[in-house]
Amino acid sequence: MYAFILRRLLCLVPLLLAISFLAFCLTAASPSDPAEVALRVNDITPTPEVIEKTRQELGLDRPFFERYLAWLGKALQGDLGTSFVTHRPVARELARALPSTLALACVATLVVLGVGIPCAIVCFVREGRLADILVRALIFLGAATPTFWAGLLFIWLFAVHLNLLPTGGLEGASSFILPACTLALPSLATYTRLLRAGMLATGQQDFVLYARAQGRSPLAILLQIVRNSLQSTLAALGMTLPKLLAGTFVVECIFAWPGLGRLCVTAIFNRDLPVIQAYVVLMGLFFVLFNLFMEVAGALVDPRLSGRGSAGRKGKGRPDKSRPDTSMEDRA
Amino acid sequence: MSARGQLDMAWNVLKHNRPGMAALCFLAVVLAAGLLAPLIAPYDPLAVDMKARLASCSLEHLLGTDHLGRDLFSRLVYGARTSLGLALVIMLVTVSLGSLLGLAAGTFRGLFDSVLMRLTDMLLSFPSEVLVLALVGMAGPGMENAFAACVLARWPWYARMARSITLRFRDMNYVLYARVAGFSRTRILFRHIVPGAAGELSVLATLDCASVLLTISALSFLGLGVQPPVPEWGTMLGEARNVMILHPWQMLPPGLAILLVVAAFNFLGDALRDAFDPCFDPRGTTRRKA
Repeated sequence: MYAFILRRLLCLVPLLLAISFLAFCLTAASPSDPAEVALRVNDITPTPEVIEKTRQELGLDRPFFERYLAWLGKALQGDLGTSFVTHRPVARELARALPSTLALACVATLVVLGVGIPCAIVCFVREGRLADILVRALIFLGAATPTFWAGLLFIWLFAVHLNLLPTGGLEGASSFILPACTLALPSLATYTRLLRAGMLATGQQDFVLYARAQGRSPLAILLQIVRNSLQSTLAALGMTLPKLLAGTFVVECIFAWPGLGRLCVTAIFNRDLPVIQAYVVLMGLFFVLFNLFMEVAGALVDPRLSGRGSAGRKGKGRPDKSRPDTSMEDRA
Repeated sequence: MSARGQLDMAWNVLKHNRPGMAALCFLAVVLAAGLLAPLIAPYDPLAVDMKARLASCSLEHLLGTDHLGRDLFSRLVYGARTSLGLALVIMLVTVSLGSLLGLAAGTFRGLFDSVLMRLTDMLLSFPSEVLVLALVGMAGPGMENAFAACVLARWPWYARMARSITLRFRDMNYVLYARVAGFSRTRILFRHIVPGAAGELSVLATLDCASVLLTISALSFLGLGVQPPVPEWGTMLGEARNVMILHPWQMLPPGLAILLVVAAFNFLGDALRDAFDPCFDPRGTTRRKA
């Protein structure tokens, strides 16, 4: 197991290098001159002399690869540059915004699990009846609703009309409810659908028939089915979490949430290139590490996977679009 | 079965799929409304009329007017052109670019193939939302940049898919037969492999249309995509947000429009998948009688 983790970690090094290179290229390929941008955001008229001076300060006069290596060296030591706007270290600004974004994503994950699993169980138990049809209709609606529209409707209904919850900001536990539910909505729909399909497929396997023949109680059989299906949807859940984190930028902007996504969107409006660059690197790092974590978790649940090494998830189609694993069995 | 036969069969299945056909018709109507907007819309979507601002629904203004007195129904109809049209064009460009590269990689292999695949590996290590945000962030807000970002963030999926389909088809008997018969590489590619790939690619592309529409309207909503005053459903929602306390109904038309079009694309995508893969049971499972 340790050898497996070590091998995967070593594979990450080139990928992380590539991500950092990509993030660096994005700024280098940006149509506007960073020196001019840095001056403009501070309301300094960019005369040729001042631009030349700023270019030297930012190190833009040096060759591309030298700049990349210098930037990478600093980034490895935790120095991601200085914001053009606030003139504070970017790393510190990100560190300040990171906890609230992670908290929001975690609460949203709990919503996905806490609502999704019971809904899937209801669908499974009452398959084809009213409850199942109702939940499936809601799933369909949830998958098609734009997040930002749902967020606005939630604000209008719960914060403005009923005056129950705060409209935005991060103050106390009640301010988590609306953003987390908004953020969870699309993933909730995807996950519930997958889990429902997984449970229906597990339900017709031989061990269930055997357990029924043994006369075991329906509840025990149901629990067994749920446990087996949760395992098979683990990978899908693993794809859900990065989507939640990536989706935070819309939700954070709607609910004035002091997190990474809003920091990045504000930076885009201000043309604050170092912050955008750092956001991209951080997100890339997070996703790569998270993929590794899910792979290890998958290998722990099913030891057969660790032997196959690099037979990862990459390029096999997106989880919400590919059909559940079970369809292969159906065809056989 | 030949690739062309597969397409014909898929169409026969799709014809009898009622939700799928309804979705297809709905999308066609919305697209037609967008294209014929000057004939349908009663007002100029950009005409400001400060005397009639924030009017409620009436025969004069079917959906009322916004904070600048612009007719919301006209803006909604013109918005179909921007939102749906943009999503369709983006997907067309993405699918063509991605699948051409993928087909080329699968056909010629070698160095080009490995470089392309490493590039897609790198791009796919980001979720598309972050990549789009990063690209728009670096290039600056605006419709052209949002367009380019969506294409750049999505083509790797199609490249990988087209490549794997090419690799799968090139060893099939009918392709081998065509090769033995002495047909040229390009002829085999376009007559035998492309039609076979079209099915799977179109399913993914249809579902992706929905997510591109959502991405574009989310960006426009935040002010990063289509810029006002161009009528776009996301931009309209962004404008409605400013007056939501006193005039909440303004949020409904653009939001519902996005919801319905996205739902239609999802329906159509599911229907296409059933059509191209008749063995796949839409219920996710075939229940065995216990």
